[in-house]
Amino acid sequence: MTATTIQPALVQQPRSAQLWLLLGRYGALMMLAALVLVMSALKPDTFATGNNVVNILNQSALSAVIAMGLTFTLVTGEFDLSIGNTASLAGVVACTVIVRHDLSIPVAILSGILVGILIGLLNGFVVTVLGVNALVATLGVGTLAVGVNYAIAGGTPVSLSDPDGFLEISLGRFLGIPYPVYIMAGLALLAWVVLNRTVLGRSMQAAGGNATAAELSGIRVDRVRVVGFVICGALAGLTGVLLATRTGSAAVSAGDTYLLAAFAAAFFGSAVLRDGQFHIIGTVIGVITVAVGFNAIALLGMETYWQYFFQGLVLIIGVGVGTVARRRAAK
Amino acid sequence: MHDLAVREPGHASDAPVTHGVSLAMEGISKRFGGAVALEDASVRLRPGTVLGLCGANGAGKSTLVRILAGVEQADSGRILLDGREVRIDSPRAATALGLSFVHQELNLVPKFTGVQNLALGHSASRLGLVDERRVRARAAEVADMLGHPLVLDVPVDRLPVAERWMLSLARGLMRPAKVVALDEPTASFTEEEAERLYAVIEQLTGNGVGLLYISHRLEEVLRVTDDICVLRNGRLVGTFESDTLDVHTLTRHIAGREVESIESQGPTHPPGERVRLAVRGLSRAPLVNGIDLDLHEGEVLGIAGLVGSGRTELARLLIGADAATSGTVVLDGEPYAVRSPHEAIRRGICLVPEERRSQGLVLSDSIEDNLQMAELGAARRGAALFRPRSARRVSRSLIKRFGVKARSSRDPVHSLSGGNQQKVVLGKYVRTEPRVLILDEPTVGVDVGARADIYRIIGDLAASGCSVLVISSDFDELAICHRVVVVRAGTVVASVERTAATKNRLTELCFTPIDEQETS
Repeated sequence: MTATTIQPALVQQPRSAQLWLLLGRYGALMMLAALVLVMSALKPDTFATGNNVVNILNQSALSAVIAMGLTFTLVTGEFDLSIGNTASLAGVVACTVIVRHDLSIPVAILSGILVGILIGLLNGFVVTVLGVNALVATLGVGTLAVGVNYAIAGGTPVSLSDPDGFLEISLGRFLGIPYPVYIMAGLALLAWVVLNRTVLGRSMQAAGGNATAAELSGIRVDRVRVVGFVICGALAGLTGVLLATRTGSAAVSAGDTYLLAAFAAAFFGSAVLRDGQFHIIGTVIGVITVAVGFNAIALLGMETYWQYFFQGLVLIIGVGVGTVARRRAAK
Repeated sequence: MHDLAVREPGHASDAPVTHGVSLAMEGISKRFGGAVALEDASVRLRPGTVLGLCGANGAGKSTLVRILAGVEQADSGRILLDGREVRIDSPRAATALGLSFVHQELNLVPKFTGVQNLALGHSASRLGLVDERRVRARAAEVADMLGHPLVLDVPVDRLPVAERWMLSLARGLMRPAKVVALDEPTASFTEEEAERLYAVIEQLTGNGVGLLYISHRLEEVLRVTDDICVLRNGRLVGTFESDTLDVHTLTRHIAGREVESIESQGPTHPPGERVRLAVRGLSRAPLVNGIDLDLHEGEVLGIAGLVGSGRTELARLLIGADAATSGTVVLDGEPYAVRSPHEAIRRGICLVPEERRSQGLVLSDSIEDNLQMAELGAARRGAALFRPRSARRVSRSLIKRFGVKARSSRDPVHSLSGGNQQKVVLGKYVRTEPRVLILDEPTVGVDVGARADIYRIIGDLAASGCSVLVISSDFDELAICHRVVVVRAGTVVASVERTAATKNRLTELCFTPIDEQETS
């Protein structure tokens, strides 16, 4: 039965198409590699040292955690604008739990994550059950979170009186590497396994690819999306708590800046190794690329405003080159 | 047989028709990456005539049309309008030359009314403001030319498909068009609507417009066209005068081999005695109004009905995509009331949906990822581990069993032809080993060869005890069923044994008002 149509004759792909294909998949990685090479040449004593590598990874850790969470919602075909507010609120709640109720650090951490989970559930409910567009829904829920935040903290930072144990989470090291790096690596591995090697993760990808086809294939698309929001919220909550452990205090809007950083990393990552699909490894590489850039700007003694130029350019060039290259390769 | 393809260029200008233009595409070649889509293909459209383009999916018809439309550029070859070579490097250029295209996926804005849609891209605007009066005036001229009234003041998403299609055609004619290409025009038309289209085609050619007609419905192509070009694997098999062909010969040209007629592909096994699915009084207003039917073990049951008769809605009720308002269903002696496709698949009922691209596949994903989807959907726990290696093994064996033509199971599914894509959708569901498989329009846009494969798969499934419901507008196709029930206005109006289920009989039952026919 296989003789109905003859396999089209296969010929060598044009060389240019192959090159564009390579550029599309590896262009973003080449950008990172070029950055590392140039910096290693310029500042061999300060940039290319073991200490600085650990430093860069440590600075990536929090952005990576929140961006990986965001990747889950993006994979299911939704997105979440409340993550920054969630992180802020989670930090404030974790510190408040210790300061006002005198509870232990593990309870504080869990309460921060719980805040994220609740916000994720609320996001999921509004998006799937009420059917509100994710843009509006998560913006609304995020604003609610800001309100709760101010109601609890009154707009002033919540600081621990005896922060040593709390600070240890950010400052402590094992084998010379700070704990947050382990947290980032562990979560990255876990997130990768969940997305690629579990029924849930594959279902998320299918739901994001074509929700109707997924639904008719028996995948419970709404449920999968809610789970995506919950994972995203939980990791945003964890990020907020970890941020508070850096200083032993939680400012009311401390986590807000992570919103754009996480989106930038995830979108940059969608152009890494894949053709515009969100994935964990890409997101982590996106975060690290930005961290390397910031590190380079600091080591070169450039003004901090260059960080914004760099982050903006990384996003535009990384995603832009991938998009253009794929289009060229298809010709 | 007359081979027009070898005629010399310019010959058509000797043709007796004095108005209209001739179109010739000569020596067109096109490659996509590694695959040859067209190799030295030449077609010629005489002025004021209809040229059919036939070929299996992947034969190169769409590529040829896309090149003509300026969406793709040929690697070599030339295009001549009235003997003059033209360059078509963008869709704009094609429009400027008077070429117009009506695709399967109509490019109308759903919420806009007919006139708003017709105004899009029309020149009747001043300083960016649409002059609706002029659009309406031109629309009236076009309607005249078509000999068909246009519905202008209703949002197009509230119109039947055939009317939407007419508007799409009209939009292409708002600027003076010399050549119009129609891609699978009647795919979702009723017989009656198709008749109206044939009348429109006659009007158009009478006005000197040349038509390219692309369709898998061979009887229709033979009826409508003057000449037929057959493509196979990107090469021109030949150009034939339609009068000299019959369906059998044409099929042979397309497939390049003898294709079994549908009758010989009928079920080989008798259905079982046991009733697998008993449906009683199933309703969901307004489209489904008390459906009764029994589906036996290993039975292939056809559902004949017009678009809007409630047949697709029935399928959606059975898989829990919509909720029934009343009625009962019993599956293998147990009550069956599911609230989601997830529950339906777990109970062993799946639907191969009507629109494979929008409802069946994740187009950007690989073949194997698509084949795995229903198994994910049937899984009880999300935390369960997914084993890519064993999943890939199963996918590869399915690809082989169904004769899916692909280089690798990791190729994106959008790189497959329509027929092979359909096999992937089918494979996805067969993999869950369903007790009842429902197929909605299983072979729309599927070429003859792949169609035969799909019929064989259906036969094999039934032989292994699976019960199959086949919903189809193509009544010839229902010859693969043991029995056919006719659905009209949301109820079953007749049940016809295979031998009696001729196309004429089914068409008659679909159109006759209920009180005039005997219910069985």
